[in-house]
Formats: sequence, structure tokens, C-alpha cells
Amino acid sequence: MPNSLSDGQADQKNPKPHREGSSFSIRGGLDALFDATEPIVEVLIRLCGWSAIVFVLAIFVFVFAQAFLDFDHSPPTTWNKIDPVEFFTSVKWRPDSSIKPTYGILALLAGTGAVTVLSMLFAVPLGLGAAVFVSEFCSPRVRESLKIIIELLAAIPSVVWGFIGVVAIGPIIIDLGLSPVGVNVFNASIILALMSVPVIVSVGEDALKAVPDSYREAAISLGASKWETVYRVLFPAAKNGLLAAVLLGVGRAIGETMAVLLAMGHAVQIPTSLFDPARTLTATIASELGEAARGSDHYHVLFVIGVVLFVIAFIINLLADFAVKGIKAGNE
Amino acid sequence: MTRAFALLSVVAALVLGISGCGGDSGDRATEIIRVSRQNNSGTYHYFRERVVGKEREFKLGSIDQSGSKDVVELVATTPGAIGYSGMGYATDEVKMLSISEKKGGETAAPNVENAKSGAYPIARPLYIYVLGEPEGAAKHYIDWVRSQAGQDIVTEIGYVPVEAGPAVEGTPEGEATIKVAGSDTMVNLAQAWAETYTEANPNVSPQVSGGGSGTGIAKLIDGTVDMANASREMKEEEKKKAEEKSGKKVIEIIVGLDALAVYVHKENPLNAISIDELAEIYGDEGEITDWTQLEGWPKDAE
Repeated sequence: MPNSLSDGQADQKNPKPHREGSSFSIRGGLDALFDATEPIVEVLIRLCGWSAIVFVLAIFVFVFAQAFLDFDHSPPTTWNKIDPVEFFTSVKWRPDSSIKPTYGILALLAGTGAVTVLSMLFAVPLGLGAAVFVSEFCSPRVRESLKIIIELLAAIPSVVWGFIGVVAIGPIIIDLGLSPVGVNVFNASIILALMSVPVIVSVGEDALKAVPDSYREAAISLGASKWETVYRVLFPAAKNGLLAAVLLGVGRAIGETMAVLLAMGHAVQIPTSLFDPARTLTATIASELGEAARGSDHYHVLFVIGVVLFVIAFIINLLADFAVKGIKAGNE
Repeated sequence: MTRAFALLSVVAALVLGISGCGGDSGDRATEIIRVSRQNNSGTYHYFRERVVGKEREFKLGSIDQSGSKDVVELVATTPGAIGYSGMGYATDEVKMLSISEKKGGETAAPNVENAKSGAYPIARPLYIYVLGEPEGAAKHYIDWVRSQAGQDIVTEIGYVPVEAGPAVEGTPEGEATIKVAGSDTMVNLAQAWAETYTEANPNVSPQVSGGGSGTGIAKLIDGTVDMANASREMKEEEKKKAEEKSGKKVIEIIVGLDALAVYVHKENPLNAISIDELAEIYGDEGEITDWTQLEGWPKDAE
């Protein structure tokens, strides 16, 4: 402390020579330091990059091994008992039956699909609309406060969302006479939509901001209204980013576990109306993995559900990739 | 422009869909909403064996809750719901039904006297499982739970006590931790035991966690806990596994009785139900889906 104080005083009294002298020596020292550490830093940064790939591969290998290999590395006997066709086409999910366990995930797939599609129907218009408003229409002051609030929405833990679904939205659904059950696909979709909106807004807003101002100026000088500018100029120009925003929202909705476990009713059935309870793949894993004895049929099957989720995520990412590339090719 | 129309029509379809689905809630006003438990619950297994039938599955499509308390909370907010959970979880927001074995038979209210006398048909023993004859602090704790002091807490929490064992004297020597996991039904009870026990024996701290009977037993088999609370009997295969792994015998101690209550919304006009009817509500291919199909449903109620 005393040293730095006296340095500061010296600086004020006779700034020029002192600063030059010190900066020279610091720069020299730093240069030497950078020269010496550059290879190490380069290796570290390279490792950071590679580690992402290593982690994904490790998770991939682990999930597949748990699903398809026993602890002695042989295929588990589970696979003699389960018909893969039945696995995907049966709605009978009774993994713990003492009479005859059946493993059919059709109802769970339907639950995941229904809640994802429905929540996106709510979240995409809302999220993209909010992104357009934040990026194009509102004043800088409003924008800053809006962004903070929207980011706050993203910081709410999912179990709290689920709780809100059960104690707040559920009773409203019953009171409005929409359904005799409060926890259902509709309820979970609203919750999921609110959870994915912040993702869609922040990525979508970045995409719109990335469109050069010259586009806007050109559009306005051609006599386009603000809405025409957004719809005819900004949307096409920001297509890739907006698509990425939507797909990130979809990813969030498919992967969400705790909120849907609470708000969707966790019932094994194919929902036939918006207000039927249903169950998702993720919630099934979360609620049953603790119970399934390691190495049991139930355990392996839960990991197969994990593989199914993996494949779904992979397909969505692949589609997104193709879509983005296709748009690029179309633009060129 | 076409895209704007597409968007509009999607929104319109959605609105129509919502109002359309709302429309059939009139027919569903007296539909029975089944609330059940997840399959790691001892309550779930007991209910299937005792009510639904040993050779019968649950009907799929029930709302499966992860905790005993969650069942009661959901029933409290859902007028058409029926659910089963430990008697100790009753609140003012729900009503417990009297139970009869057969349709039209004599009904018994869910209370301590009826459970103790056996008049109430769905009461089950609560167990503590340990591996090998308990020693030291664990033995002291279990003896205390079985004594009058421990059984008084059973009554206090809302369960049914068993014949009390002899009073326990002294405290075990040295510091000890007893890890207990298992039945969700018993978590309240086990925590009350632990608190009172630690007051008298500050050198011993029982650590209680829930998770369900199956989870507790699995942990006992893995050796990560010292004892498992269970609201169902340990299965033969579980016993075999535990004995193979630890080389010790599984010891079963009955520490209380739980009368399972059937809960409905407090404004539900039904007062009693039979086991046969419950089996038709919850069992696979069961025929009862509507409150008006029940014997005890008042004919003038809408």
C-alpha cells in the first residue's frame, strides 16, 4: 500500500519521465513473459477446445454403455426380453410390475412431443415478438430494463417454475372450467414457454442487432414502414440467427425435467386433449432412476430412454445445421 | 403475406382447440381423477396388493405424485380427484373416506382405534430393516423406538402404535451417527424420533432421509445407510441380494402401523367407498371412471 501511494505521488509530480521509464520496463518484462508462456497458453487453450469434444464423447460412451452393456461388458439379458418394436409402439410403461414388466415408451414420446410443440406455439411468437420489440422499437432505457427483467426470467430455477404450475396455474385452469385436472399438458406448456422465452429473446435480439444499420437505412429511404422493414428486410437478413434462437428454445423445452415433472401430472397416457395429464421422457428418468437397482432391466431401459433423448437432440441439431446451411446457400 | 396468414390460422386453430377442449369439461364434471404414487413408493405397492389385487396392474394414466404429501396437496386443489396416502397427512382441505371391504358392507372410519382393532381394512405395518443383529447405538435407538417413548411419537404423528417394548435406560457410549433412509410415509415419523432421541442422547445423531421404501432398501443393500425405513415388506429377492452382499441376515422390526387413507376433495359429497369399488377405479380395465357410478354417491348430487 505505501509503495503504490508514493508511486502515485511521484507520478503526479513528475509524470512524464517516470511513466516512460516504468512502462518500458513493464513492457519488456511482459514481453519476455508472453514469449516464455506462449506455448503453454496455446496448449491450455487448445485443451479447453478439445475438452468440449472429449466430454461429449465421454457422456455418449457412458450413456450407450449403461444402456447396452452389462457390468461384465456383455450385452445384458434385458435385450432378450424386450422387443424393440414393442418398445417404441406400446403405451404400456410398467417397469416395476411384479406380474410382467412391460417397457413401452410411446406414451412418453407423445408426452414429450406434445408439450414441446405446444410450448413452442406459445414461445416462438412471444419470444420473437419480444426480440423485435427490444431490438427495433423501444427506447434504449426501456431496452436495458427489459433485458434485465427477461434475463431474470431465465434465472428462475426450474423447480420453482414447476411449483408455480402446480399451485398457481393449475387452480386457474380448474376455476375457468377448462378441465377438471389442473396439472396437464397445457399447464406445462405455458411454464415451458415462459422458460424458453428468455433464450429465444436474447439470441433473437443478438441476431437482429447483427444486421447492419445500412439495411435499415436503405429500407427506410425506400419508403418502407417500420413493420415492413422488420418483416421484409430484417427477418430475411437475420434468418440464421432467428432459427438458432428457436431451436435453442426447442432444445430447452425437450430437455426440461423438473418443471414438467411437477406441472404435467406425470401420467402414463397419450394425451388426447390439451388438458390431459401426460409424462415426458426426461421426467420418467428423473423419477425412476433412483429406484431402479443398478444393472436391472429397469435401469438399462432408463438409459435407453437417455439414448433416445440423445438421438432426438442430435437430429434437431443436424436439422438446424442443414437449415442454416440451406439458407446460406439460398442467399448466395 | 401468406406467411402472416399461416401464422394467423395457427393462432385461430389454437384458440378454437382450447375452447373446443374446454367444451367437453361439462361431460367431465363428475369424472374421477385418479391420483397415485410413483413406483418407488411402498404405499403404491401396498395399495396394489391390498386393493387393486395381486394379479392385477394399475390402470395407466393416473397422475403419479412423488411424495405422500403431494398426493394430499393435489387432491386438495382438484375437486374431482381421489388419492391414497398415509393417514398422518390429512389436512383440513381434504376429506378421508370410510372404507368397507365389500360394496354395501360395514364401513370403518380411518382412525387409530379402528386400525388397531383391525376393523379398518387398509392398515399396514411400518418396518425398520437392518443387516445383522443391531449393536451399540443402533440397537439402543431401535429399542427406544419400540419403547413407550418411541410409540408415543407414533401416536402423535398420526400413526398407530404397536405393543410397546420395555423402557430403555442409559445412553450408548461414544459418538455415533445412524444413517436412515427410506419410506416417504415414514419420514415425518422418523424425523420426530430422531429429534426426541437426540435430546436424550446428544452423542448419537440419527440422520433421516426419504426417497421411498425401495430407495431406502436399495441403499441398505448398497451399504450406504445403517437402516431402512419401509412401508412395505422387503421382497425375497431384495433380502437375498442384501444377504449375499453383506453376509449378514436381514432383520425386520415392526415399529408401528399406518392406516392408509383414501382422500377426496373436501367438497366431495361421497363419505364411504368399498375396496371393490377402489379396485375398479384404480385397477387395469376397471369399469368405474365417474363418481356417479359409485354406490355412496348421493343420487340428487349433480
